[in-house]
Amino acid sequence: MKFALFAVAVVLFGGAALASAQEGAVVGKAAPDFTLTDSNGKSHSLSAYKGKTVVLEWVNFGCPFVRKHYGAGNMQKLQKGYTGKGVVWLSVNSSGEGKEGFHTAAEINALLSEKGAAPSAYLVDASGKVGHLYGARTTPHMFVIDPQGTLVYAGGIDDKPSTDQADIAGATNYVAAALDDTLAGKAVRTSVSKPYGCSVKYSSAE
Amino acid sequence: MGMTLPLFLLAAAVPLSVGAAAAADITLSTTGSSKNVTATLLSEVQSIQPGQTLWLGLKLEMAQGWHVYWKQAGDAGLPPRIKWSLPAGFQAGDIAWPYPTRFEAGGITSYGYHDRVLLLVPVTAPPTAAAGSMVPVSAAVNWLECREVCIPGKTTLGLELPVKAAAPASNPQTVALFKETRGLLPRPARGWTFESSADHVFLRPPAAWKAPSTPVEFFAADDNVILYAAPQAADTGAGGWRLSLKRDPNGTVPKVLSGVVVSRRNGAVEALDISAKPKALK
Repeated sequence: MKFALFAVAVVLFGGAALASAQEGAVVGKAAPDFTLTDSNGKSHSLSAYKGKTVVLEWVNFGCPFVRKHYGAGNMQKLQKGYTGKGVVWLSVNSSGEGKEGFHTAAEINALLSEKGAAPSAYLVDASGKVGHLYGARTTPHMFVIDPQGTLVYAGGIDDKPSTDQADIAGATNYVAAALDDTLAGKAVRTSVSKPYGCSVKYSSAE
Repeated sequence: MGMTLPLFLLAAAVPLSVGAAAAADITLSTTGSSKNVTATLLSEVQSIQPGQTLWLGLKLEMAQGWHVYWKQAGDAGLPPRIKWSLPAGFQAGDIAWPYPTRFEAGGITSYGYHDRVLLLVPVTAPPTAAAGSMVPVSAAVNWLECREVCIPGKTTLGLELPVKAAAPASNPQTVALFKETRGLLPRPARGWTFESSADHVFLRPPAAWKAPSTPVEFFAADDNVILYAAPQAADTGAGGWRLSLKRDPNGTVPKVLSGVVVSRRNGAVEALDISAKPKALK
């Protein structure tokens, strides 16, 4: 669009000079590739999982919304159920060092064990690079990638934003629905929803 | 009515009695606290008139650095919620939200309040309310208080008001706060429009609106439209003044762009509640 500018006064409001920070991954397009190390020191690249359905679960065990789903056993049930069907479930933590949710590898493994969590791997993204790449805003924030590497779901875990475990039973679980659809080779019925949770605790240096 | 009266916490500093003209057992405000937030239910007036609407307020007072959220929290967070228990025939309306403030941390942007906020709620009495009767009002309130971390808070607040045939007297303990809060409510403004491109929404004011020299902020009321963390640039070209809002790439172009436009001029805040209609891109 071309138009003559007689006077241009540009007043910027809004702080963070993070040009692409929260733009993030786009549903319907290729999920951005990344490489991160897990809590056992093993490296994982998303591209290596082509041919599999992948879940990215942004996590922070200190956040009351994450505690809602882990405390009720809801997240663990999804992890076990779907990894049992060949889904690759990657928990991702983008807390900066010193921020809530940041843990050493040993602490992570102890927490996973204590909670009976069963992700395929728990990836450490302390620099926040992958979080920003995906536009991860909350914990939890859920993404589902199909076997062709296309992002088919991005958003909340379900449709009842709250910290109350009692809300889980009656909620529509968008992740389960997206995974069921993808595993059946169908289009995902709800591809975008509002993610709810605590803010991802990116390091301030970002 | 068969309603059980709620348990409520009393802070020692909160006075329970009102002015000399009121009966000593009328409770006009009760308080409940979490770690960083004290919640109080206030009535603007001292009685209920049958068939009329009175205003109650949920006051949330926050410890330094902590905040609670607006009706649309932004990137993260959760707005306060009120579940009312009222006698049959009484109706509580929607919360009237004072204009919010923007919070930013690590690239995450949220909308809400710090220090103190009064959320106003209209309550309407049925015409059949009996003069001389007492009306118990109970509010189950939950919120999310955040600083670097977030803590859910909840409490149940109750108060009792007498039904009187005459127009109610104002509550001297609360009248100033209600008046101040009304000044913080966005006022409805018409004539705003928006245009959209592949990755932006451009907000345009009506001809009569004069752009200030200071930054203007738009707080989106609906989710999944704009990126909350993106800078909002104002510029003036041949088409006039406009505010550029970066679209959420997973969002859709709305039929109406709703939200609050906040600007400052001559030291005063102007908060406008807009429902902008779409126009073809100029």
